[in-house]
Amino acid sequence: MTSTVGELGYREICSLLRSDQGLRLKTGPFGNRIRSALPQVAQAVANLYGNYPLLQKDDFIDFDVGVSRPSGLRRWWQPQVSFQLDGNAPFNPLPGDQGFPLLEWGLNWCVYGMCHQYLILHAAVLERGGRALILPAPSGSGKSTLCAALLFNGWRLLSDELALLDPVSGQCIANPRPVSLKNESITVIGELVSDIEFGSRVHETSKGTVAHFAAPKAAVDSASSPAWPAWIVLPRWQAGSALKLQPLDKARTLMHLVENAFNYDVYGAEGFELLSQVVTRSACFSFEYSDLGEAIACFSKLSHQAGDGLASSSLGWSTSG
Amino acid sequence: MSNPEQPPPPVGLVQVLKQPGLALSLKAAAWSHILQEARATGLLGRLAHRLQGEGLEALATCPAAMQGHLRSALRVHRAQHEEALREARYIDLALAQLDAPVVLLKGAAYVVAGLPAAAGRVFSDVDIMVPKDRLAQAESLLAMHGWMSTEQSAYNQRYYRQWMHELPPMQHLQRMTVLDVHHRILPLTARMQPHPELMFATAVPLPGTRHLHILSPTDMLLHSMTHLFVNDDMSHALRDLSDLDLLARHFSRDEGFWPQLMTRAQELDLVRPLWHALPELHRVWRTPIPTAVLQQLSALGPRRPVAAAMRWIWRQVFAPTRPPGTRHADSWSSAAAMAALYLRGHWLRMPPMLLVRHLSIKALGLHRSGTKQPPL
Amino acid sequence: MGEVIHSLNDSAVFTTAAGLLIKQWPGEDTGVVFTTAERKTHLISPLAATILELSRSGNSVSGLLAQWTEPDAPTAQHAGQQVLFEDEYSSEEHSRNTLSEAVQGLIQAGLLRRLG
Repeated sequence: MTSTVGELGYREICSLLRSDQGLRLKTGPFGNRIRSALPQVAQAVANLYGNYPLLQKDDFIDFDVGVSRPSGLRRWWQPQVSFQLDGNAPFNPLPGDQGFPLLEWGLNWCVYGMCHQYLILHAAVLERGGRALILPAPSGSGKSTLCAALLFNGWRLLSDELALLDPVSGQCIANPRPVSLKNESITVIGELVSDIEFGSRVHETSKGTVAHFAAPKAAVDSASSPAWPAWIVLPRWQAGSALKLQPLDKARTLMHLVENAFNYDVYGAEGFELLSQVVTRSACFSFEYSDLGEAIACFSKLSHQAGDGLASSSLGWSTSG
Repeated sequence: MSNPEQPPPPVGLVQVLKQPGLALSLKAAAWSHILQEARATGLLGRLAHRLQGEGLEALATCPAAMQGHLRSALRVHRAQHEEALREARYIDLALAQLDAPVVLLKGAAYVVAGLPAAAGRVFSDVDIMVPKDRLAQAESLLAMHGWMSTEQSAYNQRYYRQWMHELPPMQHLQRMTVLDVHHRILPLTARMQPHPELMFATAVPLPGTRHLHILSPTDMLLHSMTHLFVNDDMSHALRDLSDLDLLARHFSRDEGFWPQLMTRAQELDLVRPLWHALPELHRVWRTPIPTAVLQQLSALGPRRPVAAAMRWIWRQVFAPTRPPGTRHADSWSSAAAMAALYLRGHWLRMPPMLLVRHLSIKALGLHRSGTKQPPL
Repeated sequence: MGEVIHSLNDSAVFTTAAGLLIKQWPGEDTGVVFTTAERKTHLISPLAATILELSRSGNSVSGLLAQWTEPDAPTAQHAGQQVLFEDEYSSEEHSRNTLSEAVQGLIQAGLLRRLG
């Protein structure tokens, strides 16, 4: 039976992270080897990766990553953190103590930058009843907050950032990792989910405060189960607005997916066909909301409706005032 | 002499590229190591292509995750090849009124000409060469068709136009593709001066195009060698050496090729890059080079201590990344080698006074903005 | 890379550019086209989509007009007809101009090619 990171205990996690061996764990389909001597990273990893399966020394590793302080005189008066892949630093270092957010962003970069065996969308993906809800949107749309609310209310998290489409099967591949929230969202979700624990909270990033909470154990345990795309919803949070779920043209939904795909250019015509199929089989909507409770109820109702490929026009509704 | 009690060294990327059959017996950990080497050297596409060519890309023994990375590389490589073919067509069209040959260079040439060196090759820019007296006309035709110079700094613009063998890179406004326009293969300030007229004279027209050409086989090989062994950008050294291996194997099917190469190297004043390249090709990729050629060449190198130093430097440069966790005697030597090469590369391309001025401006960062930001 | 057309007379023949993939869903007011030559994806109107489909093996403005006035023109064309004939008083000249403009736009976008 595979053991999990949590069974190691904090001291051993730290020791592995500091060693040449590294901490080896599986996230979704990817094998990771993580090395870092930074206490902030060790703490966050221990808090947020407890449920993930450990890998053996001989298991395949997709990403060999590390976070460290770059060497040199600067480390004494202006500390920085640097991300490495395969021992090379692909980015300039960041100031201060953003080690854990940098690790997470680096791991995302590895996926969307190098894993073209999947067509990758900038989207959150959640599953219910074997069917996937895709929320494609750039930052600032409220997608992360909505995703966080839904994953505590009946939906399984596949990813909060990157939708991995398998071009062969057309399914969404699960890759649940610690979920990040920014600024006010942290407060909002903190109020909604009373027992939520943020395993990392960093204040001085370029986007303000960034906090991470652990993906639910059930999501991590089911990471090898893909889901069939069934709903594509373009979310928009708008203060004070009434909830509106409106059917969206499949043609416009397709364009939206194209605009939110990281590696559409690599896929070319095949990408066009694949996304067309996803759009054809899914019910497509635009969604505006201000109240998370209402939003959760709306999606719950959506999930109880029947079948694939229904004309979206029969499924839209809005609340008044 | 290897100690019979020590385990054999792990099978790495170079070994699998030379003998794809070795892939059949690799374990997951070995594949992880090979993936890292392939990513670091830019050879993942070539590896995927090689394995596919031998029918080995879907090996039962190869982890599904590794197969995913190989498929990913093949996909990227296919997309870039199609893009290269498309760009070549657009360039051919744009330069229709240029009354001169337009020579495709490097990766784009391999792709458009369908050479084996195109296999799995990924690259970002297209390189062309036009005669110097047509450079201004070429530049204006390209501008009319949507290419714009990317160089903002006045210093760099001047530096390029005065000393370099190419214009500052041009980028197409809509397609965002990058085009490097050369007029010779080495800067005017370089110590070696291969005459471009000689290379244009033997350039081979590409069928199906209006003006596009590629260099003759000897010139293509010599250009690639010069680019690798005189350049200061070693980020794709092993891959460039692999290109040379594929080119050499392909062209040397013609028996007359090796003597022609030697003669041509002398005509083009490019004996030194040849002296550097051939022994490395033989050592790393086992390229079949006639012994007579290697012997003839060995007499044409620099003095013994310099020769030995250069051999040591190339040994560091062409080593793929060591397995993770090995101690860092290597990283010091590779850093020293890189530093030596950086200076050497500049020294070969620029006279001392200019070199000092250029390096200090580069170091102070006065000429260019643009840093790599993390994806926040 | 489209050509700039200054005038398009009735008999000028054009054809759908090679390698176009067109997707349309019934009842929607836009379609999507992918150009394999330039690897670009565009939203297009039903009129444009219909012109592209009808012109796969060559057509002309007068040819399109003739097909549109056919009594048993297939459903997909009806969207185009609606646009052209939305005003029952619109003259044939108006329809011809609308079509001509649409065709020119498609040529400029590189989705149609002019033949001779």
